[in-house]
Amino acid sequence: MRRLRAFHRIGRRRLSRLPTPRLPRLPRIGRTRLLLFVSILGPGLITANADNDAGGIATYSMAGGRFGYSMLWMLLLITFSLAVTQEMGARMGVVTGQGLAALIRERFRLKLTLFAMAAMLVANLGTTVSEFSGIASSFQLFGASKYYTVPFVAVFIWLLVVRGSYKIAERAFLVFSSFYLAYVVSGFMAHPDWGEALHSTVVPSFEMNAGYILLFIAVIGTTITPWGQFFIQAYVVDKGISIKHFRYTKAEVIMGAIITDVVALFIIVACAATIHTTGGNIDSAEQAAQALAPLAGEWASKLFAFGLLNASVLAAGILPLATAYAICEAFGFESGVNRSFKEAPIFHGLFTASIVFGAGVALIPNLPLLEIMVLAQDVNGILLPLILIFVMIIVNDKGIMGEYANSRRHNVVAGLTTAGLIILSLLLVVTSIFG
Amino acid sequence: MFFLSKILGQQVKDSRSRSVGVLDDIVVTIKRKYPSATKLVVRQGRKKILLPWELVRNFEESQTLLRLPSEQLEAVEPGEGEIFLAGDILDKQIVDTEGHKLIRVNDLQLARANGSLRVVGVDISGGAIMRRLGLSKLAERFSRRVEPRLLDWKTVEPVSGEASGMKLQLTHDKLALLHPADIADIANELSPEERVAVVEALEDEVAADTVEEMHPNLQAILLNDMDKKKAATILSNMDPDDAADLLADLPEERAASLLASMRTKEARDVQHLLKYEEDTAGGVMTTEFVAVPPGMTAGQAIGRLRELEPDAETIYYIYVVDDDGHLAGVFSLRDLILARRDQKVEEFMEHHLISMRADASLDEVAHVVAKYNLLALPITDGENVLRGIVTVDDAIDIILPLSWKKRLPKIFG
Repeated sequence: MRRLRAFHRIGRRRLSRLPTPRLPRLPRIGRTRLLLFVSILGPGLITANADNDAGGIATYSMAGGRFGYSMLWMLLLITFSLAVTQEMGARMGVVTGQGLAALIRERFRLKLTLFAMAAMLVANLGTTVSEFSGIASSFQLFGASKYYTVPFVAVFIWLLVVRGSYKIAERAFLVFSSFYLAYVVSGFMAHPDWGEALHSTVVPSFEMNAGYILLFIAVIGTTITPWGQFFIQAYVVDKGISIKHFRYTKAEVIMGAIITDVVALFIIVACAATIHTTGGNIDSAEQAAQALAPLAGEWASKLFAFGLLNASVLAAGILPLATAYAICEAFGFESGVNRSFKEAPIFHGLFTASIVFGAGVALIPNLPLLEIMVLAQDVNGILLPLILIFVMIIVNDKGIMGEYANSRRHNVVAGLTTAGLIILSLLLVVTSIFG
Repeated sequence: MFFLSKILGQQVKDSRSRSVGVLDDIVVTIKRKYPSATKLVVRQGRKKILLPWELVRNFEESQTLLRLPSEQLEAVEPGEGEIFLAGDILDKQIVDTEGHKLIRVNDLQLARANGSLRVVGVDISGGAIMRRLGLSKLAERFSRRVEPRLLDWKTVEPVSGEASGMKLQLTHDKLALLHPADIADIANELSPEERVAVVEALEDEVAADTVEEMHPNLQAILLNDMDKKKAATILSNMDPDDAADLLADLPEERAASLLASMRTKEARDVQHLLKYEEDTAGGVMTTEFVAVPPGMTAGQAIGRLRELEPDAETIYYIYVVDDDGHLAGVFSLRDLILARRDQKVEEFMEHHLISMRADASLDEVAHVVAKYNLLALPITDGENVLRGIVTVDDAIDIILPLSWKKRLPKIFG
């Protein structure tokens, strides 16, 4: 036996040593702490950045442009909800080593899984449409026709992912995400009424009309998303993070939630101080771009277009992939970009179809692109409670989570988020009919 | 032939054709090649009872008939080595030992054999999903071939089971026959608990090889969660350089306690390697090499090799060291075989040998190994004392990891 294995060993591949970043010389064991923190960084921050996608920019811009500072108070609550829901997802990943789709399948069996997957599919397709609408909008701002550029970018993204070079591209996108700093600077330069902004952040206000509620749901739906739940769990599982180091991941998730919402806050403030105070409309990307005018002047629309394009392309790659992975995981189909079309037909089919669908819808002539981006976030917001209910049942199941099942605090925040969204959705229906 | 999904939920009737409840699950013993039914779970409203399979008089797809009237039925408890088909297998992941991967069970195929019901196959097709959703007709209309993709039960193995409320102790006989690299690929996909269970069930040597092949983060998690004694045994059986890397990734206390429980010789080797920085020659070298004194004859050297049974990657070069461990020369397995039995090794050894200091950088190591086409490179300390060797496979890892990373299936990680 031993000799046989020794024979095997000649040609075996060893993946055991991946490169480690060069660090200053420290004794070997002591250094691992630092390395560890660096190596488990990622899930929270990447999800946070991908959260502020085309739909995010559009929704926050519209919230600030239409309703000024009045929705700021909600961001405070959303930060808690986002941190708690993401932490739950990450914790489920660490404890079970399984993706959310797999857990749903094992806990709820086939029929309910189909239901959950259908909800996720609709939400994700909506979001994918919104990403490609973002791509179309940004090219229009650059003065290029969407009919040439969108198909080109769709093929580009498809190739990037299928060829497996997406990971490298992802880093570039993340670096470009520093574009959001432009909103912070522009927000300050527009001399917003900080007193009113602060007042709106701590004192809740609400309007009982369909337009307001629609945007309200969109702001929640673009920040806390069904795909975000699937994504963070998958990411944590792939990274192989242990429960012992979970506190780092937890810290990072909270950091990510704060960053997401600080960016959102500045987009809203910048739009409120520029578009809302001047009484301008916000129906198009061109108008939304004016929020960057205090910083960039006449270059505002180009800067906006660049940021929007970067955010859209980053998420337009992630979403179809996340969709295909989750569905294949739930139903036991072969998956992975490293498998050929023949080996994993459903995976590749879903992935390709998502891109084709997203790009296809964005190509419809005279589509109100900005509205579509916001509407997709509403779809997410309305479907999110469904997914959260699945998540909450699993994360409270001691048979699955053992001692790491939810605490009451988690349940209160996640429960209120779920209930809040359901009530908002009902209010939306009511106000649309009677308003 | 039956599909499990078709028979679950069907009526169970007693000897007087009165309904006892509906079939909720089937318990099988997995000790056979094809597990046979031993008990059936009957659901009566919210209550579930377990009945022995001997009570079944007639089993049909549409209903199950029992031998006794309902008053005489006595419930039993699940026994050892028994699993619940719906509870433990259906919708769960199991190991496909031919495809070397985890698969999700969409349905199970059962067959009648000598008065018993046996599990014969696992359906992993999309067609099974359609069937369970009651859409077989629809699916057939769209595609001609919704033939079930069946895997023979004898090629699969469940990884865990706990529907009976207690963790099942599964043996992994079929899994253990796979190449450690394949077991590692499967283990990477399991939950932390299942991973511990699978690796603990493996024979020590196989377990060690499997751990070496696993994702480095998961190695540390695994050894952290595992029973201390077993973990120490696995570490002792691993290549010292891999064991050192692993220990360096563990929390200090755990690493120290594992080191203390390891076999003395291996613990010393590993402890020695831990002193070197991870990104130096010392950090990747192994202390498993063969060294002989200059006065030894070729015949004695061959005898020494037989005694030591070195691994393939370390057998090709035999180093010559003096009494104080100073590196004096090297000869190859070829030189040794061609030499006369009574020839002293110092007569045919190569004096001008290439070696490197333990603090040399990895790039230098890889460069030298590639340039001189070495199978192994000796590593010495400041006083030219032989401390270890870097084998060619480790040198390849220094150069290749980047391109490997690109090919990894993971997208999110």
